[in-house]
Amino acid sequence: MGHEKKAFALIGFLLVITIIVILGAMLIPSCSQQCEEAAMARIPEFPWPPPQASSTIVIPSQFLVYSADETLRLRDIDERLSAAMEKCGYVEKRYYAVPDGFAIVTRLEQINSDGTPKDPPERWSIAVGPLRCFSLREYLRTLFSANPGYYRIIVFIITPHPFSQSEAKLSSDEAMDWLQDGLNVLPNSIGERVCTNEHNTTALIYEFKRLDEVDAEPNQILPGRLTAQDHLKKSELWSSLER
Amino acid sequence: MKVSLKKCKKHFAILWFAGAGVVFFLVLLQTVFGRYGEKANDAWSWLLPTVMPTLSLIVGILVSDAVGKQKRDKVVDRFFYRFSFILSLSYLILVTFTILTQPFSSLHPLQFLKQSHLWLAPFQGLVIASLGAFFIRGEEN
Repeated sequence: MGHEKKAFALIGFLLVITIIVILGAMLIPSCSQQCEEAAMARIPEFPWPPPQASSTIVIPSQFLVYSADETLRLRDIDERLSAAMEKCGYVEKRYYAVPDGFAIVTRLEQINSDGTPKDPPERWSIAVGPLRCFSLREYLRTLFSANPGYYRIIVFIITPHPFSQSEAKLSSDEAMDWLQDGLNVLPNSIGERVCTNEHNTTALIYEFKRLDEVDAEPNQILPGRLTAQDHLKKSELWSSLER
Repeated sequence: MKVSLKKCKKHFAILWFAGAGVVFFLVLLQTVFGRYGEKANDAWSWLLPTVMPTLSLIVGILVSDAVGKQKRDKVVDRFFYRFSFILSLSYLILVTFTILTQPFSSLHPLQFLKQSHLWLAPFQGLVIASLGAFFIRGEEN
């Protein structure tokens, strides 16, 4: 009788252990899913649909996908974009979540009227700087006419979903907040996703102009003076991506 | 060595009207092309006290000479004439230089003009003093 009791107790103990193991195995995936969802919930979302941009272009897929056979993840796209951006001086950027993808936002930079970036430190400054390189044309222009400051923010959006833009006009303050609110790196929950043939990379250019007044705020230029391709070419991002 | 005061006055009048004309024309062009935007008043508020007191002094003396009954020409020392002339020329060059160097300043153009009082105001005091003394004094030939 004593042996039977021990045997039943052992069987009962094993059953309890088995049930715990099975339940545990069932709960772990749902926990990781919850963790992922929690992580996703923490990723700041880019305004969707995006505010009206000064100019827009869809980056040719061959710039970021080198071979049709390779299995790309969104992290790979980020690495290629980031490498091109860093080559062109865009070392500060922020990540946002967009539907099934992500957005990279560059820091507000000051540009010349032809779209080429100003030399640092003016490039990353709001203040309209003095004339640095002398050319008679530029000198006379600065001497006699208002010396406006031109600014630009580039947003790359990687998503499989076609999108339009909202009618909302972006203020320079909102644009500068983008660099504070976004994440510093692409989270794994987004980076591990497979980049499908439907994913497109779209560059949105938000261009601002500030009149030569001390207190004036930069205002968005709508529509932009230059095409998005011109902006990317002048910033040398186009050639860096083209390889 | 003495020079005719009448001749000197004419030289000063030509220098000041030519110099002030250049400065006036520069600021006019800047105003027309929108260099100062809606704050063009501030630019003219800077310009007028910079040249008008001396121009008024010269015009006043020239008109007074023209309507006066002075028969004999006065003479002045050449050194004082040259000294005053170079002082006036330097001042007008400095005013023009202040406008022409605006594009190289990191300050807003109007702030730069305002700041220029630091070097223009003492200079202007010297110019007016020298011109006043020069025009009032003079020995009979």
